[in-house]
Amino acid sequence: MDKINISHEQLEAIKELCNIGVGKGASVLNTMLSCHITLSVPHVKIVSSKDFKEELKLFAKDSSISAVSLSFKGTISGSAQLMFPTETASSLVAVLVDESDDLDMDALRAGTFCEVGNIVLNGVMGSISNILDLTFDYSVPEYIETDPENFINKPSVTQQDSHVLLARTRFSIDELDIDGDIALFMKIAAIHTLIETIEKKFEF
Amino acid sequence: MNMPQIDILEKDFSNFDGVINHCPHGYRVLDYVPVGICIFDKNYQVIFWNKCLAQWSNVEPPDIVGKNIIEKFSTLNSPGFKERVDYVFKGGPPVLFSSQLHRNTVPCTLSDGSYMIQKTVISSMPSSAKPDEYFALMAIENATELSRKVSEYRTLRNKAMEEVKLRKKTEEDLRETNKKLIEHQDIKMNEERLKVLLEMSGATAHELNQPLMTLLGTIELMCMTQDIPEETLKYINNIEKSARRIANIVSKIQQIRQYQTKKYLNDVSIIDFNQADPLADSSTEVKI
Repeated sequence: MDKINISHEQLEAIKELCNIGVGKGASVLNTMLSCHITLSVPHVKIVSSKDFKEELKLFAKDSSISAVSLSFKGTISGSAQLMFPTETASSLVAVLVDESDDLDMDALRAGTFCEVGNIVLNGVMGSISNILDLTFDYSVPEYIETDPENFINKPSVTQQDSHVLLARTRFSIDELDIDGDIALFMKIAAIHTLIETIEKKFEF
Repeated sequence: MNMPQIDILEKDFSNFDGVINHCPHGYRVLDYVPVGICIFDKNYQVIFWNKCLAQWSNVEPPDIVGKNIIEKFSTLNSPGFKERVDYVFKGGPPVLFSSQLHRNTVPCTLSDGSYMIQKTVISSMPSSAKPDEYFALMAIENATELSRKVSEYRTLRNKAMEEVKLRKKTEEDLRETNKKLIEHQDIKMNEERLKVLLEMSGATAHELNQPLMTLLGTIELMCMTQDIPEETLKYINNIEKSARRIANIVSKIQQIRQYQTKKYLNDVSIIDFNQADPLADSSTEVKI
């Protein structure tokens, strides 16, 4: 099995799972923070690790990548990541904590970004886990900041048969609109399992 | 279910009845880690409180074990806390509380009287006694020093940025002042030139007018003389034309009010006598 065949309905179901998840994340963020935040997933796609490399380079432009990574093991294993160009991640934190935008992504901001990522990823993984009746064992989320080339060279991305379920996520906070990517890195077998589970659950 | 179990948790949980009056023996190893550890159940009742956390918070295990942690510490009653942590009891992902958004989860006073800044992770911990039952393991790190260092770094960075900004402004001001100084020097130089020019032109006009008046008067007398040969009269008329032209130049010299030059031959500049009268004869000029 080295090719992913996914129908429009299956992709829409994954998009719906992600939208429910980020909606939960937004709800938690809104109870915690003074500003109003809206999260949505306009589109979802599954790409090979090779195609993802090109996508990431375009996404990062000339900036480094800041990501919150949450690894999971279970019926489906992989790693969920919320990624932004570092400057965008820093701007996001600046808006959330009402700070000036001219600071670097220092340890304090990285910690805050990690918490925001944790909330969003927990929403998405919780949604997948609850709705599809799947159980996972999670690692502690970690903050990663590196240039796109190094990010791409991580073993989880460069594995021959690994694919990426990419969900472009729009963060709307007051007057700020920024795009981040939620990426679920999984091997082909895991993606097939996910699709099969969705098929059974939604009876496609 | 593919959940790894921790060996030390295998003990004592069969005896757990909701409220524990003593620390489960298997958790004792957590008394030796340099982070604050607290374990609580889905009712938020504390099961374990390690030595580090007891030392930091000045709350001894007998005073907290068996009690509701949210009721004990109001900092945990913040919006979103329970909503996030509840999912941990269903085996959900770990929950992070950053030091910037939550200064502390369990208030701990430091020796200088300030509150410890904390970074907290609450993880799901499966029960060995009951399947599908999870406890919450709260690990608290002291992030005070890191926060202080970052704050110091930010202060230094902001100071450096301010200095750079100030330096740029000073350089800009200096450039502006220098420009004004050069303009002022030019104005002063032109004023000096004009002063000399006016003195020179006034003196020149005054000194030339005396002999010129004599010359013109004499020419007039000569013209009134009878029987002048026609050839001589022609010469006298030429002399009169030139004398009147000199009178015109003297008049223009008297009208000079500004220092204004124009290009002459071989990169030489000359005073422009026609400045006050643009329609005047351009041949009237003086080399300087």
